[in-house]
Amino acid sequence: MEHRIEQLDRTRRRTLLGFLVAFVAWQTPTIVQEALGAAVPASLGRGLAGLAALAGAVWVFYAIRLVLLRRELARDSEAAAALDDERVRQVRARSLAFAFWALVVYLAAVRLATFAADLAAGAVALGGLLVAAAAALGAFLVLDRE
Amino acid sequence: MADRGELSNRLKVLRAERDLTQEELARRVRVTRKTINTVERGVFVPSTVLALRLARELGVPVEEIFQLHD
Repeated sequence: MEHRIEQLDRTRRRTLLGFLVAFVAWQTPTIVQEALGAAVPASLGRGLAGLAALAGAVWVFYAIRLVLLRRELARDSEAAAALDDERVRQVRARSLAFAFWALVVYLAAVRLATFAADLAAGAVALGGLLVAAAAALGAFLVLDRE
Repeated sequence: MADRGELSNRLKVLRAERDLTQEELARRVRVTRKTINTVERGVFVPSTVLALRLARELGVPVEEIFQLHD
């Protein structure tokens, strides 16, 4: 029988993956709308808004699952310790370092792009959020693989 | 800190000799199975504390599990 810690580890991985995919699917249409503004045709705008709303709802679902997982681990100190062992802490630190450098590259690219075009502040801000979150979560999922 | 390349280990052999699964050993030393797997493959170098826990569970000196190459 699969041990509880193994099950929780798989659940965490699946939940983080769903959280990441939903977050990207939620933010990308929003950023496109912010970047293009009035240039977006009305029908496309409605489509992007609908997609963002749907993905946002899915993201909330996965966010709730993450909170429930945290609460479950709060009641099981042995599983919580195992799921936050030294390898996981190392993977988390490396993921955050990767996200930091991804954000630096993004900001440098935005700075260069401002010489060529006017960028929408909202799109730049949301883009930074997307890059940081996607880089941190994506790196964690990649580095946590076997 | 030892680089991965200069450290080898016999964890997989010693675990198998005791009929322990990765999951069972992981449970006993309070880590995930993936951590045991990555240690066995030399991908992850464990801390002194984890190395000592592994040695205690397997009933051998830590030097019997991990060896440094000159």
